[in-house]
Amino acid sequence: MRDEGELIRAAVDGDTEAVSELVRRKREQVVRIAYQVTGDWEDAVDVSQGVFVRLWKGLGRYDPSRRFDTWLYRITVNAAIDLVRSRERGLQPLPDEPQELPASPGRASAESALDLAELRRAFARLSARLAPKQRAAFVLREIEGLETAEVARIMNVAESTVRNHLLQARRVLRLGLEREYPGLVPEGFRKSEGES
Amino acid sequence: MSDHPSLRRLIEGVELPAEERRELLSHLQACPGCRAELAERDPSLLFAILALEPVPADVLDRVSRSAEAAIAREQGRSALRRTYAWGSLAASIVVAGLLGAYFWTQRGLDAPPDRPTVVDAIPAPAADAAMPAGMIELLDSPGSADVVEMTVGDVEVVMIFDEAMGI
Repeated sequence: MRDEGELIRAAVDGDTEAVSELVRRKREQVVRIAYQVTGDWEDAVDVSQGVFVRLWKGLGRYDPSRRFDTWLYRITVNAAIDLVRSRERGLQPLPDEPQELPASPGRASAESALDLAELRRAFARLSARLAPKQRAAFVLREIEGLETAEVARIMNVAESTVRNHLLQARRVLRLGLEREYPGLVPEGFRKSEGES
Repeated sequence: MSDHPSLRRLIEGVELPAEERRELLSHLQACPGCRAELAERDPSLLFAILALEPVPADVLDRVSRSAEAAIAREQGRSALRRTYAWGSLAASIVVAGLLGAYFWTQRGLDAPPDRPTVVDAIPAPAADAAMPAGMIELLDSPGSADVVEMTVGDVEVVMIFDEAMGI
């Protein structure tokens, strides 16, 4: 199996097999980030297609001294944010979320495994209240688990900007969880509004 | 409690190796006690568990197919653009050549009359040679030269004699 550097060089030289292999290796990361930022699998597929075309076109300019994934994530996040913004301008409406709150399992959630589908629904609803860049910063840092410095490089902003995005994002999500999804928040924990 | 991993690095935002992070998050999903500990810091951190959500296999396939098809279309467009560029260059060279040939031939038809060739110097007449009829001798001679002007019929002739130059 070729290493990433070899694969990129071969792809630059027009090796179509290398291009396909690069897509196969990176597609999961790309579509997952696109999905976390857009909240929709269809949108994520569209974003991913555009990302790989841009990646292929830009391979000749790729600097091997820089981390490949940083560049890939940057293209992905920017494309996903652009899509979200175009939706917000009214070109593509957000899918309608059901107004009723999920039945609060109360103590049951404190004693059982967390339902990923329920968590996903909560995130889709609450993160829609975030600005695209706040959402992107939260996705990269807390869901993808990247360090703040790496998030800053991907988003091409200062680390302090990333921290600010995260602060805002966490506040909105925390308040939303407490008010609308109390069943997801473990029993006995409630922070009052205004606390950091 | 030794079965419960430390959440410190997750809370502090340290980038963990993929496998270690996945194990930690899997534990969090299953363990309400650890989730409570995490939520005590910030409930929004619970959303980290979403990293466990698998990408549907059909979505991955569609990404591969659509990406490869889109790249193949771009490769086709690039090849067409290159062919067009070379074709344009070749056509430009041919047109430039034809225009150049045309103007070159036109230049030949309008060519000015040939310049007069250098006339061989007329040797100086012998010192005792008689002056031909109709000759008018110019008295102003530049340097060592003798300039003679004469009219023969309708023709004016100027002769320059310069012993130093041998003419």
